[in-house]
Amino acid sequence: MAAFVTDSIFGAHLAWQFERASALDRASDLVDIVPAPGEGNPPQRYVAAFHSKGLVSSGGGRVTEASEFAVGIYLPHDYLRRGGAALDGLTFDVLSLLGPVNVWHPNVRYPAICAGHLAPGTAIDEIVTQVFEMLTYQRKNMREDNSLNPAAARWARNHQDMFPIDARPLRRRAVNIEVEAIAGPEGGGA
Amino acid sequence: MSRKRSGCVKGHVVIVGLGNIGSFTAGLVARLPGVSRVTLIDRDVYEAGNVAGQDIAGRDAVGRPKTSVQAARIRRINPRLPVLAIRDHLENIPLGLLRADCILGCLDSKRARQVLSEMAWRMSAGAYVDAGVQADGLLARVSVWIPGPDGACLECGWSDREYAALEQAYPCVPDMSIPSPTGAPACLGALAASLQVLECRKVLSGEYEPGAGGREIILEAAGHRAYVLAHERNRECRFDHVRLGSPKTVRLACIIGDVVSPARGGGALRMADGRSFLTRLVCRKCGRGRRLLRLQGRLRPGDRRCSRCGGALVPLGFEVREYLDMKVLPRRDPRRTLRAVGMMPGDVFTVRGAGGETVCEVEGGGRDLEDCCSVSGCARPSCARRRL
Repeated sequence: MAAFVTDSIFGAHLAWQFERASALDRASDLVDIVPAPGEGNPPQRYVAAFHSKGLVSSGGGRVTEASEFAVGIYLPHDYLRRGGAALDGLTFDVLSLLGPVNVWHPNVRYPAICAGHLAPGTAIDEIVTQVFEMLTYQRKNMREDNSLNPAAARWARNHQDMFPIDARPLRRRAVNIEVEAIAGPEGGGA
Repeated sequence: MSRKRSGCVKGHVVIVGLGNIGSFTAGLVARLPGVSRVTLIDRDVYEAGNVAGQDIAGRDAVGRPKTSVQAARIRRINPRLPVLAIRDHLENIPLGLLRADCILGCLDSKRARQVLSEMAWRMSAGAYVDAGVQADGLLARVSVWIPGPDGACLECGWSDREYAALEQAYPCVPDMSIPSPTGAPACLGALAASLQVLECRKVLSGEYEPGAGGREIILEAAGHRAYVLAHERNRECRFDHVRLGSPKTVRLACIIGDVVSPARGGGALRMADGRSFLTRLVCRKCGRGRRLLRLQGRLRPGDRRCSRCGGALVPLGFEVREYLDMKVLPRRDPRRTLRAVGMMPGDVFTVRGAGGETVCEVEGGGRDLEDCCSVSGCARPSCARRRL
């Protein structure tokens, strides 16, 4: 955790990422971004909980909508130099799907999320935005030869009329507005 | 350097990459006087398409590991020169095996160059001499980096653009990250190799001062032009330039808790090559998780199968650990041996605590590995890797 971070350049980067994560958290009601339990200051790990619509496979070839997704984000010590790495050639270290395990997307195969090319030092709010666009199918990859889930890529090609599953922008916040009736010229409601 | 004054030129030379440049480099190093030991590193086998562009004898080499082919060739040229051939990914090589007087990089990927530069720096190699070619314009390039207090590193000259252009770190299909061949003719590879070995010769004879700035020599064969560039240390370089001190030797059978003993001022263990520890695997099929403690890149085949559904277990990136902190490790983990978490002879790690930082190296690196065909899976009964 951050207590072991002795590189001042990376430490400053982490502090900046915390500011950006907090700003996005405040600016959106579709995602909550919080440091993972036990993280130091500034944190290296975050959990992003999305409250947007996406797809899951429910067995028997059925694909249904779901509305809660959790993604883990980890900024490794050399994140500024290499952006992230494959772990044993199977998954990646920066992004992990935490749940549900049956997310249906060409670029997601539990627990791996393939966000395409992440340049070293890509800001955390940009990563979260990319993941949001993937989960809601605002961004999709329909190439089976470059996808983590080729079956989902095939399926996506045949169901393009369904997309996006959720068209709401990430940076928005629901507000409660009380609407009061104003009397019109003829005494009726507005 | 005293070696220069005494005329005693002896050195361990590591060659990483045995393709268009490295296949020529190996033969030239074998003929270099005073080289005391050579280590060859490459993960690939020679293919039929390599015969035209690389220094291999002919079709006999096709299908064989590049390290085996070049090790045999070096032995034919110089039978008294000890050769260690390691067929593995660069990232998997124990850092202690790269303790060298000169590291020669003959790589075709920017990312691999970055990894090798970091390794050279950590182990305070005498020099890291990187060679490259570009078929367009017939360019041959050699860069010399001398790790030292004020020395420049490969990354000192990198801008945001260079970092952004690093090879795809997140391929959706892992094999797609393999760089495409340079298409350079054999003669261009030979030119770069010759320049590289000439610089190696200078390094071994002490013509470069420790900590000297970086130097880059470029020959543009198409236009008959030559360039020499100097590189200075960049104070805002993203690389930390940390070099490790002399290590304390530990055995594979050592218990982690003993090595990182709080009584001795220890508190946390971290791999010197930046490799992380995997602490959780999850099943892709049923979602079940399994706790473990294993070094990244050192999973065993048995670790990868779900005991409930038989599905594939894969690491959860969110739960990797950059260091083992004795305060937060589950009780049984400090009782494990270094071997049990996947360490190998030659692995180097640091132990940090109230008393400062200690560098440790697992003994046996390179000593028991002569003629070894693969670091991670050698079949020779005498090889230390076999027991892992």
